[in-house]
Amino acid sequence: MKKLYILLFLFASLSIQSMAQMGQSYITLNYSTSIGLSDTHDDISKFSFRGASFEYRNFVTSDVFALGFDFNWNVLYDDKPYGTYQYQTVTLTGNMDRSLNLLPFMLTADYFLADNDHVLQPYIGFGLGPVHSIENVDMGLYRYNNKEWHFGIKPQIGLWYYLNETTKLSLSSELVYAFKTKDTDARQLATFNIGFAFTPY
Amino acid sequence: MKKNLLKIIFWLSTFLLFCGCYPQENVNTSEYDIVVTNYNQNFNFNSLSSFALPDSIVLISDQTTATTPVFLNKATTTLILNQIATNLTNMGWINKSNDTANASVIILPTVFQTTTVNYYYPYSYWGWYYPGYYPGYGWGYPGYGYGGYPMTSSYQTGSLLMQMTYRNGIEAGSVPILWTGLINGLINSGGSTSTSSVNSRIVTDINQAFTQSPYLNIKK
Repeated sequence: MKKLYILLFLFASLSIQSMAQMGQSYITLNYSTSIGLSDTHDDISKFSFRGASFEYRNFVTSDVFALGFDFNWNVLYDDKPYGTYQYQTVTLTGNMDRSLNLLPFMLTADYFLADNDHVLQPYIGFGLGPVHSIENVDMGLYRYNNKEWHFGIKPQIGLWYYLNETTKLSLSSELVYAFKTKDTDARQLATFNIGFAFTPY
Repeated sequence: MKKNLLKIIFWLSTFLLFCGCYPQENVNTSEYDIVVTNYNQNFNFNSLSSFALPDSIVLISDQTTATTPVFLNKATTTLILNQIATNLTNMGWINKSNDTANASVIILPTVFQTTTVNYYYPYSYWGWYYPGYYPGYGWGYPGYGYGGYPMTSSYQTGSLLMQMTYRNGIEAGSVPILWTGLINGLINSGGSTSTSSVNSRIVTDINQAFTQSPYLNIKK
């Protein structure tokens, strides 16, 4: 009988621990670096150190599955040296500055491979939603400006490292894919983020 | 609770700080120069052999009000015409400016000058208010506001348009353009752009217009 009590106690304490994260919300604020991929990389190849992201996650029904939303802002920028650019029969020579702001607003779902009891919590996730892109091409005294809304998706991976009861160090990487629109090419971006995830209360 | 609030404030501030980052703009006047060329790709330039240039260049500026054409000053005209002629000659063309009737093409250069004025004054600068609006206040005068004083700046941009016209292709009053070269840049920005540096940039940019148009090379 005594053994049974011990087992019941252990079961109860484990359940309490494993339920600890369920229903809990986390806000993550990241410093975000990024690099363009594919055609986006052909336009702007420089690695960008300009960016930030905000994420909200709620472990609604499980301590390893979180739903939420996030907002990123990454600025790709390249100051191209004096050069010649060809477009059909038109040839342009001058200094070109290019910048691309990508702002994904996404609904996210993340699956954590370890629950809140662990020091390290790796996760994989997926997001989808609108992506706003603002492209500027400066050449000479002129600026070409293009603003567009895309539909976008982003697979992501990340890792939380336990710092204290309410705070975790967050490392993550995302592949943002903004689909092409009628007038604008697809945008592709890989982000590398570091920040803190914490419970807002 | 308080610690978390501080964390949120700190990271939100950092977030907004990074959002505010914008790249540095161009700084040197010459960095604003651009050279644009275009051509009729269906035309065989090797069928041509000579060109002619006028002796004057029409100047179109936002100060132009006369109905008769205004021409660019002689020194700059000579500089531009000589540079165009040198480039075409180096590409195998014969200069028939003294025998215009027999030239295959005529190059028509035109210069455009535009002045742009930027001005700024803080809302509070023009702080007129009626006497007696506030008890004990008399007339309010500009300049007593907060937020600084008015600022103005202006810059002058110049463009040289070179059009290669084809005499034998004239149909129903329409003159075909076989090649177009456009150079554009700052020519005066608060008096900081000297004539010699503008001239040097004109020469460089005209040379570039021909360098990036290899199809004009008719050297046999």
